[in-house]
Amino acid sequence: MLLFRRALSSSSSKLPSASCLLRVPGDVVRPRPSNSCGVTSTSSSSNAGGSGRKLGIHVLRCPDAVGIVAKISECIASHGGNIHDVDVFVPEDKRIFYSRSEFVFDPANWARETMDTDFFNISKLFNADVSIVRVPDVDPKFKIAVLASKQDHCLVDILHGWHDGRLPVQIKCVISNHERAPKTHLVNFLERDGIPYHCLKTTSENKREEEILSLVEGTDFLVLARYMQVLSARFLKRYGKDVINIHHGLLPSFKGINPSRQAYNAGVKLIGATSHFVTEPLDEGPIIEQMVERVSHRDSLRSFVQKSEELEKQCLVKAIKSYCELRVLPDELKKTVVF
Amino acid sequence: MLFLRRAISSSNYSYSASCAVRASPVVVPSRCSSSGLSSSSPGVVDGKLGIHVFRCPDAVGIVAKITECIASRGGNLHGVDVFVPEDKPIFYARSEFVFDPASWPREVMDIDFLHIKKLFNADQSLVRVPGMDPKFKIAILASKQDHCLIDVLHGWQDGRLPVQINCVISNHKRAPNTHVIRFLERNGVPYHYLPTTPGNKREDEILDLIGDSDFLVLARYMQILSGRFLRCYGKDIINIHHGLLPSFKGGNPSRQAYDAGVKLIGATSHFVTEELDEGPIIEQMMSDTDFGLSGTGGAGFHRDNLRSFVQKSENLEKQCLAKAIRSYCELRVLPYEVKKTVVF
Repeated sequence: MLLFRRALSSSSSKLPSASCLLRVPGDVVRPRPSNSCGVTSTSSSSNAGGSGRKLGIHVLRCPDAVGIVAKISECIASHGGNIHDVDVFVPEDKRIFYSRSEFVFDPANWARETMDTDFFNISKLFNADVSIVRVPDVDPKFKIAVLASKQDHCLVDILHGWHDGRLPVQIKCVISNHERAPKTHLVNFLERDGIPYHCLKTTSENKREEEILSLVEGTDFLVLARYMQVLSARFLKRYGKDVINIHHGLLPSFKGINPSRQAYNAGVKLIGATSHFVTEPLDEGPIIEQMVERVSHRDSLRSFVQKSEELEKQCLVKAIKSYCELRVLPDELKKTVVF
Repeated sequence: MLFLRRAISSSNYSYSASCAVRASPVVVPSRCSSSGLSSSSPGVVDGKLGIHVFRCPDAVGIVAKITECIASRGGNLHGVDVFVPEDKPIFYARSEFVFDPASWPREVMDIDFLHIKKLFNADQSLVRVPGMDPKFKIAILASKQDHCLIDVLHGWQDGRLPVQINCVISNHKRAPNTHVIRFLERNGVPYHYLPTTPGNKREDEILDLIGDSDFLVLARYMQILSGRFLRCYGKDIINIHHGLLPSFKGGNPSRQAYDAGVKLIGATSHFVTEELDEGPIIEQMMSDTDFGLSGTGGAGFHRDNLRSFVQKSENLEKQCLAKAIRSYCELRVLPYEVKKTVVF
């Protein structure tokens, strides 16, 4: 979705004609799948009302001005769309406008391509640098690749979330630097669901980044589910799209490895997990979500780790859901707006 | 009470007079001042609350001995907290009991618990009767920001904080008609204005003023106390830091947090050691969410500007500091390894 990577590169505000900024500039309008995704969108207003009515989500970021909300809502209403939810945010100290709207519409009255054009016009009108519209039931699901190492609780949780329909993604493949035997729960699961598992062992000299780049081509974003290798700046530039990581500590505390142990040794009374976008400096990218739990002297290192793992799973899944629901927008260099 | 300082220095015991097992029996002035702690004692008309804390090498029979001691004197045990870490044979206990001082005089209680201490070779053994023993005497240091100071003063006035405030020391001048000054005057608490410079932290004068206190409270005192000061004072110092340590050490943690784009903010109260903001943590609280429950902090947090960050922080600091002081006075805080605490 390139919400974050685009902001970083601060390229010109030439917007692709595609309805969503998933592709690098230059792509043409992508073919719409003839069948809608099998799973109903699990984002907030899943009750789209009468038959044929669909949920649409629109996000916009542009320089602040009078009349933006009016224009957006008028556009939706004029096509018979019914706005269910609007979130608007303008920071106190900057004249930047953010909005996220959820609306229900009848594709018979508002064709998908027309919708694209209508919102594109609005984005031009207000010189927006982020303008995305998405119809979860109609548009292709986000394609992701998941990278993991030996610890698989986060990976397994994502797979179950995907399987249950809680995570509206399509998993292209799982890549790991840890070998897994054919009979493990994980490998069985992946085989049953036709998801390739690629074991790419790494060494200190060879992070297998070229091979990973080939395998993740065509994905919309990456999920690092306790992937313990540090991705190089070169990799991030070449991949060019958003990468979401989970860190089992309350950043900026306890960066790096073994944050549970660091926390345990530090005698803190609160531990947490942080999901964030990956940037070149380790564990410093914009934070998407944080979760926390109390600990006390009664917690051993083991229970620190257990509580951390629980939090990580929830925090990562929440971040992925928010991202897929277009709730996460970049805010300056280091932060996010999360509607 | 010297929980922390004692553990660090592992010196011989010289307890401050406000509580503790005495090395030799002395007559304790029985001050029946009510403290904020008194729990109603069903069944014992003139029952007093007693608190006993204990740390020793683990062994079989410690709880049995303590509870037998209390029962044999007619004391009624209301609560016991025991903790033995998984990986170390160290025993911690905190007991609350109600007793009749006529049946179990204070001096005798001291001797009884001293015996148990010797029996188990304890390095921490404290008993305290809040309704009888002198309240903890504290000095409060503050700078310009006075929300924590005021909260501590109000807490003291309401009886929520069972302390006696010897004095307030500040490197910030306050005019006579300010709320703080009028409050202190009305309540007979001296206010000492000691402006500091980079070359002169006025530490010797501070040490003179606080000599009689049991512990210090730094209520957003913005000067760093030197290692020498800490050694000379020798007793515990509680500080409030308006950030979730170890994140955002040092100055302006709210702004650091705001700039870092974190989704949760918090406050930390901790003991002061030589390293800035690194002493054992007593209590941590975080933004807006009930402590004790898992909190989430993603959606909506962008709506906080720096001002509301600071406001939320300040609220948390007040609660966190007050809680730490209360816990400390109730003998709930014990040192645990070098960097941590047991908080019952």
